[in-house]
Amino acid sequence: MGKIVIVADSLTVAGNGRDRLSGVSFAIGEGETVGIIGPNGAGKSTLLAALAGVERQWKGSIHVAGRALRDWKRQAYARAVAYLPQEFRSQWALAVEDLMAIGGTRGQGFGWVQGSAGTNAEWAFEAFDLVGLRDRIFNTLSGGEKARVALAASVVSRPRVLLADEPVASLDPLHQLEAMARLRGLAEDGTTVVIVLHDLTMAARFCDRLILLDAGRVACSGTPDSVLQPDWLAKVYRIEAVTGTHDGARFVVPWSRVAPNPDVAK
Amino acid sequence: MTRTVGIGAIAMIGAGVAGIFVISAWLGAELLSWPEIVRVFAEPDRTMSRIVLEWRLPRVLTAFCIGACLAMGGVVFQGVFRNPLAEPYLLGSASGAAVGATVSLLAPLALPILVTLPTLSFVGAWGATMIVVMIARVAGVKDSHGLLLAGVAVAAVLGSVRGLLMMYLSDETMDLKVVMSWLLGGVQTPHWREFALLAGLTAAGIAACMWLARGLDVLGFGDDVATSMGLDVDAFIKRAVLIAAAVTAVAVVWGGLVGFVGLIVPHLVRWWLGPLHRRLVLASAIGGGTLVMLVDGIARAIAPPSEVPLGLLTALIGGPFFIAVLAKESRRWARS
Repeated sequence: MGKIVIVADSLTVAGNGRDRLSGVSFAIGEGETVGIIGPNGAGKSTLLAALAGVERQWKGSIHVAGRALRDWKRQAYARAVAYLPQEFRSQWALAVEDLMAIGGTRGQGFGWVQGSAGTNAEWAFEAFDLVGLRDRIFNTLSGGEKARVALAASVVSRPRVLLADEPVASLDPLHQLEAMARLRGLAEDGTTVVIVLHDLTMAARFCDRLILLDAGRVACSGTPDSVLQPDWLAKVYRIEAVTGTHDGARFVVPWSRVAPNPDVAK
Repeated sequence: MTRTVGIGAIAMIGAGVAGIFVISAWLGAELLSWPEIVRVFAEPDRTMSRIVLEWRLPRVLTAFCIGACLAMGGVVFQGVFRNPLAEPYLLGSASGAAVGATVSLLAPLALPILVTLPTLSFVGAWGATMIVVMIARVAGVKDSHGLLLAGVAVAAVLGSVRGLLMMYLSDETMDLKVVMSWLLGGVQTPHWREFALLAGLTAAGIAACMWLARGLDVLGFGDDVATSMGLDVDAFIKRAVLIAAAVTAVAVVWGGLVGFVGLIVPHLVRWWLGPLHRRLVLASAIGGGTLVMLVDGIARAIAPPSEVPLGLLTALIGGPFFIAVLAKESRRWARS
């Protein structure tokens, strides 16, 4: 792990009845690709929203690039940290080019002053294979194209950190692989990428490290190999999975549910 | 696509707006012949010239400002509520402004009417919109139909409040017919000095709405993305509602209750130029101004010497338009 970029310490987010996150701590280094995994309701999206500054009702501490999140100026934080929610949608029928231009003004303020849009948009059109979509209306694109545009618009201004919530969940296998490879490429260029994932094979193949959440707590974290062990899968996901390695990367195929027995993964 | 508004198109629009300006000045109880239009400026002391210079020109320009304000109010409300059906009239803002205006017209107040009329109209427009927003929030209304229904309900209540005020505050000295015809929507004909005030307020409104443009752009991606892009969403929405209420109040003070301009114009402009708000605000201001200028001219020319209330004409066009947009939106919601 290189220079530390994100540190969360005892992060707790209250919810109805039980905490949505409870005492979550971790550190993420610069240029790392970190997958947040865990079953539904484990707190993955809440965690990402808290890091993004969108969820504000938390206790504990979050430090980004050495500064407490609450001490960041709004625009500076927006420039540094991009957030792509689970379902990116646009109310208006925006052309892809305009959407990218708006993405390029991330963190530039909202007065009369025009942000420096367009100056660095071209690389994103190339990198995300959007040149042919430039004039298309975002809302009329296919799911895969939308995901590509949303991802590109999030990073067009080259933020230091990208927080993406299930960016590939609605994509077919080909587009999943493509999108994950692009995220990986961003990380290799120095962007720190934190992604929520459901597909454990994708998580294993493309992430440097995984953080496994269970009921608002970190169950375990570490390399994909160490996290995606049968006992953890049984304990947290309540599944039995077929696992193996191919081309040096782990694959995980969920196969059957395990009987409700709390002692399975002791 | 959305970027290719060429000089030719701009020239055409300019010519169109100028043409409608001339036509609207020409329309009226007495139609001018072309030589007479020229003579208006050559011999400004003739009776006909004075009618045009002191009555029709300020009136036509006032109509333009009213339309510009209504259309911008529509743009901002639609952007804030992320709802293409939102507009000052349907959201109850115009009704709130009308209550404020009625109070200032009928109640004996210490301050001069030129102060109380705009102020109370603004307070009414802002208050009504905030009530709608709060009802929607308390009732947990998430979809935009609910917001509009809240607006319709608030507008209905405010309409009856206005009726009661008119009943109890009016006396023999106050001609209710004047108030009534104003409420049905009709362009006032101010003196040039008063028009300067209106023009100044309209210009300030354009500047303020342009200032909101980028925030409205990112708000279209939802609160979370907008927040993550650096927008203080709650503060921005409060600010935007305040500005939209202000331009609505300006329109109501000089034009009464004129519905649907704020719906029709932004919609057509968005369809033509795309939804980026910087362009949308400016083009809607021009488009709204031109539309009201034209409809006001028609209102004067249909049955001279009396005038058809402007609000009746815009509702006549706007009602079917609203239904068409509603049908289109419902199909979209059904799909998603």
